[in-house]
Amino acid sequence: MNTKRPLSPHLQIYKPQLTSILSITHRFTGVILSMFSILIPFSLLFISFGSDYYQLFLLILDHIIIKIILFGALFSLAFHLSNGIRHLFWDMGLGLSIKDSYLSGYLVILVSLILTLFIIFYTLIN
Amino acid sequence: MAIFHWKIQRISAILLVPITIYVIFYLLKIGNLSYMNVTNDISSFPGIILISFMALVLFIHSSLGIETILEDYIHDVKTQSLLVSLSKFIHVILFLITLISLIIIKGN
Repeated sequence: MNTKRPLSPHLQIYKPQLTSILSITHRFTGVILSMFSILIPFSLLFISFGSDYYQLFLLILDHIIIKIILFGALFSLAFHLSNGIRHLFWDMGLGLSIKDSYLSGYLVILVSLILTLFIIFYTLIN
Repeated sequence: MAIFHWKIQRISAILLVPITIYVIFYLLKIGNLSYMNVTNDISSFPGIILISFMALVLFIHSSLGIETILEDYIHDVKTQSLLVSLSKFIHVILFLITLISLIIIKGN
């Protein structure tokens, strides 16, 4: 088998368009979320060590740099979730036209930004 | 095999939508909860079922996604299969750490 054959997607020769940008962002945010998924087992492990470790864990989460990183992860989650729902609609054969794809694309950006800003605002006032 | 991969990726995605929304809402109020509240919630019967199920579905979804990306961008067949195996191994370990932590929290 010729392993040197070109594989899609050929990002270098593509003119950037909303649809292709959202597609690659979906993959990128997916990788980011895979990395952040490590937090689930490790925060549970931290909690299992006892109350002192849990307090330390909350203290770490309260640090401004950690917060900024987590807000970035949060945007990745909001985007991947809303664009994922868009993909699920496509899988059902809905909204496949160029016009609908652009409309849902802009909607995904809007919804993920609103969701992220809402949660940032909520955590900052609490 | 590819169609199986495709189906599992979609089914796990659908399952993750409500779970993710629920977990976000729970985490938003975690600052107001004591250690006892949190461990009681985690080690309750629905807590253990939800977290184990979420971890299982999430790590399957993550593993399949990483596999797809490696298949698309890593052109060398040997490196590709090595990285896919490594990714699967890490995902299994992460799932096991989740389960072990749940068992420890339940035992406390």
